[in-house]
Amino acid sequence: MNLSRITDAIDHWTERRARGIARGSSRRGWLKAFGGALVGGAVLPLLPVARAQAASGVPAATGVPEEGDPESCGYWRYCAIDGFLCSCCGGSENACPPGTEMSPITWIGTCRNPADGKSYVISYNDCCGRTGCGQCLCNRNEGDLPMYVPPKNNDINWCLGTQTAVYHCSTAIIIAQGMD
Amino acid sequence: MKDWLTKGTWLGGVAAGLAMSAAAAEFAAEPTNVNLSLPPAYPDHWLVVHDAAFFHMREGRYLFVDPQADTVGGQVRGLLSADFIAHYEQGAARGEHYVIESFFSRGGRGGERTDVVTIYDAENLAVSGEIIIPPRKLSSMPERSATALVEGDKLLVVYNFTPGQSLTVVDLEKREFVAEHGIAGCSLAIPTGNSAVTSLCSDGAFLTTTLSDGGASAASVRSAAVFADESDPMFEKAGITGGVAYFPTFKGDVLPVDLSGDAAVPGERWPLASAEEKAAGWRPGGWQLVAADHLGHLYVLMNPNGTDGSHKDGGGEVWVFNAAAKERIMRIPLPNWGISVGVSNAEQPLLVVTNGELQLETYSTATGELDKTLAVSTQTPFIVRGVQ
Repeated sequence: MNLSRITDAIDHWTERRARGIARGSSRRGWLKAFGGALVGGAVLPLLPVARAQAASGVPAATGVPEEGDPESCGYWRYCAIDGFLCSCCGGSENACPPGTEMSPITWIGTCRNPADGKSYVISYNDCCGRTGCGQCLCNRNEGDLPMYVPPKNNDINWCLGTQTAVYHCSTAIIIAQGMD
Repeated sequence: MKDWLTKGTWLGGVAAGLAMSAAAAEFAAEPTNVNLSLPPAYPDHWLVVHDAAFFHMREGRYLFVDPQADTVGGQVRGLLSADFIAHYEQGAARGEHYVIESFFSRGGRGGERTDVVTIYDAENLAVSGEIIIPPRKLSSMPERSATALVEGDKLLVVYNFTPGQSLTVVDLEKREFVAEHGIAGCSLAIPTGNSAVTSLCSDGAFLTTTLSDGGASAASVRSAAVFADESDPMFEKAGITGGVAYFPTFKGDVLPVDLSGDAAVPGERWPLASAEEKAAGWRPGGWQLVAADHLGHLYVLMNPNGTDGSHKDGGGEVWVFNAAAKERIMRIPLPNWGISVGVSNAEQPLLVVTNGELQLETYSTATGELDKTLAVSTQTPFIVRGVQ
């Protein structure tokens, strides 16, 4: 689901809500409304490496092949993300938008890279100090654990250790190879 | 008398005045500066809807909703502001509402953070006071168990996460911060017994913190590690009825924990779904995926296509259980999917489902039939509960 599609979905949802005629929704409606792409992500075509690199503005981690669209909730690194994608907010999948501050404390997930079939540890550092980005909301929960296991929970606002706790968006940074 | 006010115009003015007086006998201007109030005791079928406004976190709100009304004007009875995904407690005996919220001195770009317990009068919904607390309260998606009232609603307990973990204690009668107690490795605060709260620890144990000396002192008791199995994690959310908290697990069991005494006493897991149903894919799922009513019934959102990672996706049915008997008594199909469930405190409770379009639907708990989709418009109503 790219930026325009999710924006359209939210606009559509808002419009229907405003007119008070929303009916016949479904799980897919929930995904549309709140940005998840557990289903959509699996069926969206994966874009070539060049697209990911071009979109990021920051080179992918050295030696890690890439494919997929960082503006899509189905992008492989986002397997345990919950928040607005920084790739849709003036940042990238591994860098914060201008004027924001990256949280040094975060939660992690382990995602499988379709480009090489290997697993990587992903650090979902939040970017902080501007009001919520509001674009490309994405919620996926592979390996997510309840809030009593904070390092593996994506429900917490991880704008901690930053100048302010105001949440803006979330990144997905490769920090290690997984245990395949 | 001024030049412009001639005798003629004066007479004309008198005539007009007389005419207005005659009309006045039939007309009375409406008064201004009138505010409506709510009844001292809210009808027990009313709901408290937390619209966290995820896309505009500093504009959250708690709405008091009458689900029996048919129009939005009839349904919305009033609301409270709730800044930056707040927490909420109702002090019914004291006639107050408490919103535990964070403010930033420079708004959307931050600045100094101030955490506040905002006290609202329950009848006129005016702010009757506020208590400044340490700026460490949990900031997260909405969590019902982030705060708790104990000692007959005298003390408010607030869970802090910085990521250091602690409990703030507030005296609501004196309206003052009392103390902060560490609970390293443990999360949240669920009322337990008369003067304690229970937290969930990362090693799978329950930690009960008992307050004394007006909240200034605390002693803790830790249970055995009973939910440490990461192959089937226990949700941190529970339906609480009869002093027992029922925690569903990702794969379809439920762990009862007796919270009526001085410390949490875990019971034995029992299955929400049969082995066949589990094999077919039925699993609990959603945001506030579980609720319980005063009749001892447990409501769990169930996903027919559950898999690893589906635990927040929501569900296509609500399964209703007699919790004490460990028996399923009803399956309620949801035509529009479900993300969260809540129940009212009415004599015959009303089930409320946040559906896949983030609308609120009400269902009869007697028949399971869909009653209506509420007209009230909200953005992200993830937690609904009944008023007390």
